[in-house]
Amino acid sequence: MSEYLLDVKNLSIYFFIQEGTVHAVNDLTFTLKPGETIGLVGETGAGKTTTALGIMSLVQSPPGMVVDGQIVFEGRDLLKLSEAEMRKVRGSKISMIFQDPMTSLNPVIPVGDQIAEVLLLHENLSAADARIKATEMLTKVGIRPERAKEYPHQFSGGMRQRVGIAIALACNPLLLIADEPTTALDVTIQAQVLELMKALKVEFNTSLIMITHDLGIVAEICDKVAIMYAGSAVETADKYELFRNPKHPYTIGLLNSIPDIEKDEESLKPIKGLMPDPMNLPGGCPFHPRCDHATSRCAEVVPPRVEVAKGHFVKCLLFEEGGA
Amino acid sequence: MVHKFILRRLLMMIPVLLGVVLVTFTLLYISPGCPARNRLGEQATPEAIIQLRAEMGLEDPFIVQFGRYIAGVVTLDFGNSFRTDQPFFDEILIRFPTTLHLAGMAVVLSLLIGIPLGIISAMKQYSWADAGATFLGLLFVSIPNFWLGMILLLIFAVELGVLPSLGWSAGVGTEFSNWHHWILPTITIGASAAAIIMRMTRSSMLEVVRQDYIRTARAKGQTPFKIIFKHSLKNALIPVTTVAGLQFGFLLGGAILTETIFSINGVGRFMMQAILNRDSPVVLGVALLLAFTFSIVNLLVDILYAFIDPRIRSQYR
Repeated sequence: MSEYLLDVKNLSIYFFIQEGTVHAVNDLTFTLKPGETIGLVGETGAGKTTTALGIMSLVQSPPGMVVDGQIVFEGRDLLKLSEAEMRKVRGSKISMIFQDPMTSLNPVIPVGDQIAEVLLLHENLSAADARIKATEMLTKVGIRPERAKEYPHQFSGGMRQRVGIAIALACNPLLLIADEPTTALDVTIQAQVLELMKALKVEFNTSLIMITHDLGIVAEICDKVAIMYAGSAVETADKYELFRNPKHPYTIGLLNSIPDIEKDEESLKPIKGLMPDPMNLPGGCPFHPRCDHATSRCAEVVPPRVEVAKGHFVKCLLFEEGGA
Repeated sequence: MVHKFILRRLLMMIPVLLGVVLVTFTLLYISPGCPARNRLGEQATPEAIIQLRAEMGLEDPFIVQFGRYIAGVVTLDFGNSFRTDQPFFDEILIRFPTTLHLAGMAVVLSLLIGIPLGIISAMKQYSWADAGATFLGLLFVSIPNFWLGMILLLIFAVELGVLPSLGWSAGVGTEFSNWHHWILPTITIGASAAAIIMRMTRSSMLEVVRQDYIRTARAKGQTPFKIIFKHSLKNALIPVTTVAGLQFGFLLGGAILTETIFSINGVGRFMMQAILNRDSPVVLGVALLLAFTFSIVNLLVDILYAFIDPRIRSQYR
């Protein structure tokens, strides 16, 4: 078995719809060690959620399909598992926290039962024991155990996301995928939920894939970062390396677009242009139409993944071996 | 608090029922034909007719007649049938259970067929099973039940002779031993309801399985079977309950022609005869009864909601 808990290699996920083919994830590669946290950062439509669903084998199919690549988890390629085998992985070894806590809980089932459900599925527990463990999980996420009998509509958004976290962590998974878990929450609640996740991650020694478009959350919680653009990780590095020494023009653009509270800035500095249509990606490097350093070659050659420093990978022709 | 809700809903039924009586009463008042003449026959003298009309109160002004009827209804006196001179209340007590029984069985049948077919159709969307169920659904929604009744009668009672052409009538009660008399009327009346419930279940299931909480259930590693029956169905049944309740109401009223075809001595056939005889107290009484039953069924459906959906339950508290 390798040193990695999760090794995603050249993953490509397409959606074949009537209007054409949506290239949601393109040749995505990243790794994750046990206990490590990686942030998948990118704009809306960069393929972050599709990647997460791909790892869970929950991509809606049809129209979605994993067309290429490997997802090696604990030495096994998840893409080769049968649906029945995959069901044993979901919720027990890999679990997921979803973006919108208002809609991700079943409105007609008490929250305690929704937590107990995952325990009954994967742990060898009686119904009564599962219920007891479910209330313990509720306590862990800061909800009074007597509220287990209540329904989702009786909870606030932040509380529901805590329930979502309790469901995800109930079976002590090796890998937790959090898909923008705080996006739908207001800022003070965001901080509480992040603190909770951080604490529980340490307590359960869980690896975490944190999907976000917020570099602040990355700085707060992640060990390393994959910057995603048009379905691909254009730059992957340790958190400190990435913030101090960004290489890819897109990463630099993203970091520059954060306004500095110390300076008296007149206007925001966005990256010019828009994210390309995933149904109609530009040839070569997908970022070249928006890139200040683009040359004619950028429109023709897909940049390979180059290791510019230990553990720091960039997909840009500027850093091609022997290049600039 | 639930009691308060029910009481409020019961009070709200009063204006509805008053409206139904007013409309029916007005229509009967302005429609041609004379109940007195019907009773005395074609040979009656004008004097005799006028005398009988006065006795029946038909010579009084509209508002007086209407007021008298309402006053009667309040004391549960719905007047006597013009034709049999029996109190409406007694006549309906014999027939209403029959119609209720028929409509009830038709709703049960339509739920038993409609919900499973709807689920299969939604789960296998765009498959041949879905296409077949959708086609049958469209077919049975479109077929008028009196036509279906006559065709079924023709095939199973006349040609094949395997089922009786009579539903319930003199000598054939609603006891279970008469089950073969129930089959054709129940199918006739339940077919369109089954189709409507099937279509509703299908679209409702399709909507529910796209919800985020179904994805959450899948992310837990839940099996497809349990995702359908534990996570989806209860949510999907909320709109189906509404439709089933409405259908029950329609079936009570829609039984008129079916009861006539199968000679069932129920409210519908009673109403039909009353309309033909210009038997105003019976027509009014049946209209009022159907409106009342419809409102009660709606109330029951709303209470049933609370059992299915905890969000509604907490509103009643």
